[in-house]
Amino acid sequence: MGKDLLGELEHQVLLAVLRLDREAFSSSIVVELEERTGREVAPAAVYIALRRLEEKGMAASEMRPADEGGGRTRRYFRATSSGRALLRESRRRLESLWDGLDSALEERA
Amino acid sequence: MRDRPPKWAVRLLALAVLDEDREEMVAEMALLFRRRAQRDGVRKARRWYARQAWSFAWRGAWERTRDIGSRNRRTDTGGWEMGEVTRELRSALRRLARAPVFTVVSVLTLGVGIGAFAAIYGVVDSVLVEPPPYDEPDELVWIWRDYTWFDLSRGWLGGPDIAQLRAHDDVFESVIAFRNGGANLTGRDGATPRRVRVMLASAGFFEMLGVSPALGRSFRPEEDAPAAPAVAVLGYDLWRTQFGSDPDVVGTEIYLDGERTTVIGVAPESFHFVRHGSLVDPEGGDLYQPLRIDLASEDPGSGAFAGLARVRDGVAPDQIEAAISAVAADLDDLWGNPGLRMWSIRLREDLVAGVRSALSALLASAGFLLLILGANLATLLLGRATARDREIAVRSALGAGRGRLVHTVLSESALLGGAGAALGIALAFPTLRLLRAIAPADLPRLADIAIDPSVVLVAVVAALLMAIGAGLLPASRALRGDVSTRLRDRTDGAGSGLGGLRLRGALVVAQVALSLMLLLGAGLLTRGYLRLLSADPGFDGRDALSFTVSLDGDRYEPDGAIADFDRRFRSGLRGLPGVTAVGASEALPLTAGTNQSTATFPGAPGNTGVEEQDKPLLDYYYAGPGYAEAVGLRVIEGRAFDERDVPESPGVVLVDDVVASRYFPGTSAVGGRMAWRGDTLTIAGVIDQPRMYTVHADDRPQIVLPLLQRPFVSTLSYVVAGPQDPSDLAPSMRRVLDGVDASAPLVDVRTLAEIVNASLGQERLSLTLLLAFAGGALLLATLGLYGVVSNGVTRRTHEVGVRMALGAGRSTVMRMVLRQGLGLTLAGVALGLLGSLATSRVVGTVIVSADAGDPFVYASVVLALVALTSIAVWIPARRATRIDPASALRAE
Repeated sequence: MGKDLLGELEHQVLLAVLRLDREAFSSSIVVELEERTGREVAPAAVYIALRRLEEKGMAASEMRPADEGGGRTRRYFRATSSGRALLRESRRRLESLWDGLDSALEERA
Repeated sequence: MRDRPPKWAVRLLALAVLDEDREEMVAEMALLFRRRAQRDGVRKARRWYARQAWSFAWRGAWERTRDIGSRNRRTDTGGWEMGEVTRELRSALRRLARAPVFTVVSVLTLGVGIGAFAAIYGVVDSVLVEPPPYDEPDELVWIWRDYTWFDLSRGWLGGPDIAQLRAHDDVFESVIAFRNGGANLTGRDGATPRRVRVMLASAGFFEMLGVSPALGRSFRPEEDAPAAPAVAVLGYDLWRTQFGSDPDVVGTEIYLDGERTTVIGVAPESFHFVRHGSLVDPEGGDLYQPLRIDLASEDPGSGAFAGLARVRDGVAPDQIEAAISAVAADLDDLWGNPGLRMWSIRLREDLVAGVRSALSALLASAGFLLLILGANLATLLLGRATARDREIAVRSALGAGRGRLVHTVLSESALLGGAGAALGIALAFPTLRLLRAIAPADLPRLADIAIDPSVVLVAVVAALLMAIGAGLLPASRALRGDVSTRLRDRTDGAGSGLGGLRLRGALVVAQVALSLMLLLGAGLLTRGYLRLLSADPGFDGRDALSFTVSLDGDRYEPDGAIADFDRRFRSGLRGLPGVTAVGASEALPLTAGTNQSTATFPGAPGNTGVEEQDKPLLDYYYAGPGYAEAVGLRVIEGRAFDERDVPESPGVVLVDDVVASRYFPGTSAVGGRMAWRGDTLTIAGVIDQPRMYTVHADDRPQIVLPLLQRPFVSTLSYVVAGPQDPSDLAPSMRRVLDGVDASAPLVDVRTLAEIVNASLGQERLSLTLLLAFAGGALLLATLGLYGVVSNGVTRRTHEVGVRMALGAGRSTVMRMVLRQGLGLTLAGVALGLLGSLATSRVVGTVIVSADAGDPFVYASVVLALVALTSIAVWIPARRATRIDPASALRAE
């Protein structure tokens, strides 16, 4: 895996971080992914994916007091500008690959 | 139900994540857990959490190795490079492939040892280590009465005890009473009744264990009230076999002993309520019903319930102790302070109390076998390293670093270890199946025995440790000594070989010593087991056939109905060909089926005047005419029961030799009196005690009451003596029973010899395993010895040639080789005997009648070992005498 590419789960996690905006933390990301994909997601995999994203500079995190209070702080994630650029780039590539394939995916009569 | 994740899983999770994220991840996972629990229920959520914790653990471990790998690639300063390691392993693989015999023998050696070890460990792990499959099992405690004034420390609780324990709700979250029963189950179609085991428990039983039914629901509190309509939760097996896994069974009606009962649920497949291993039927019930008893208003005098409690989180042991003692003290006061106490024991400890020492001894034996294998493997690797001395010397002369050479040797070991572990784990599965097949049915948690990840982990670690440990010896040797001398040595000459030979000699001595210890253990156990087999169980009719008939309680309610059944059934059975005696009893020997109660012997000469001693707790059961003859009870004096012992005739009782000798020493007990529950019975006869619990020593006093005189027992075990081949009898017995009561189930057909055998199941398992270990150990030690001596002869071919050329006779040469081999054997024997001083005491805990100092066993084991190893030495010795001096010198 090259340094500029993302694994599928990392990709999904980064998208979830983007979607959750200021509410992206590990358990909310797990819930978001499970609800959107309809599949069980292992929190451990998400945890590792987040660490890798941070190592690669695609995501950054900061500790903030948790919204539900109780004095607990929590690690919130956000996508960095290079993370967003990578997502744009990968979307562009995918879209160019998809281009004109809609009819090919129709059920053949 | 506990609504939090399993404690161990939280701990595992905390270990698996990095320090800086620990608090955060535990909190986040708790959020996810709560969400799951709301959606799928707590039980599923707990399982999910456990799975995720494991997932953190292994993913985390993988990540860390990846980090190490990438860091090393980056630094690139030699030492541990991943590429290097792969290269090293690949070349080790090539080297091993070039020595197929060595490789196969080593892997087999390791595999067989690891397989045996893993299988035993699997049993030990499932039985002793794994927590029982209930929520927070360590919070569950049994509570027992201890009747200190007679010998009953594991007494059941009375109903009021349970009610009072519940009042201590600061200590106990819940307290459940239960007891076992049986009932005749008739289905919806009124088909043939079937005898089922019923577990009666207070409402809250399933919830306390954290078990939710697979179908339907568990008991509601109102269903546990005295006059509530009958409901039942079916056990999974019963549901499958009797109800064809009917998904709509909930809500249907069944009949239990004639009572209409609504099925409200089905227990999950994995649910076996496991009780103390010393009880009959430790695996619980076929179905579960609420008790429907007002516990507080029960007679406190009758101990009728087992009491299980869940202790609140964070309650200290002395608080439990205080609560229990308070309840016991009240009861003791009520009874006039005879000294009643109560005590508690954690469910988990209680479960394995009877088997812990035997299983630990077996695990230790398996460990011994593993050590022997390790020594064997070291010998093999050493032989190989010695053969490669020159190669290693050349490589180091050419500048290979020491570390590099150690890597070379160790990478071979690691490969062998990996292959051995894989083979061992593969072998462990069939071995474990075999163990389960021969394991006694009363081994607690038999059904749970399986190879799980922790067993695999232990096996892999053991294999790698052994292979690498065994590889370190030759590796360390490879680095010692001066390269140039080794290069100068001719072929695999004696110069460098001698050190190796000495080391191999030491390894052989260790193997012989360990094998001797195992053999001694096996020998002592065998003798103990044979002693048990031939022990006198107190009856002679081992060939007689027994079976059990359960009568429908309601239909046999009228006076005399049971007696009438017994008379008609017996006369039918006596008409069968070859039958010489038939009789019924409430409790067959060796089935622990007796009841206990106290009695006194007024006017007996053996009374001491001390009340506790003169009011013994007796084992009692009912038996009818013909029973003593059929079982082969030995009537020492007086008579056994016959048709005269009916309700109208004077009350009689049989006592055993223990009662007779204690209360009627030196005189005849016949004609003596026994006060029994308000009646006075006359002793009609004295019998040799038929053992009720174990075939070995057992001196609980026992009495037998006449069935026809007090015919209240509706589950009767019949014994039929006479026919040559009892198995022919089974169909005709059923026919006879059909003629008397076609609706009565007939179960448990087996000979008394089979009952004796079954009672020795645990001993037999231990013995079989230890014999297998000892056999394997002996084989390995012999092969090891042969290898060393044979190798020695090869190395000394030149020397022998010279000696013979100088006139040494064949016998001199023979003596020279034998001395070497037998010297090793005797050193091993001496060490082994020393070692067994420490270990042989353990045999008494495995088989009670094993005698750790049995000289016969010591003598025969040592002789057998010396004889076998002599053959292993003699074969190469003979080869040495055939060396032709001329050719040996020419080879020079």
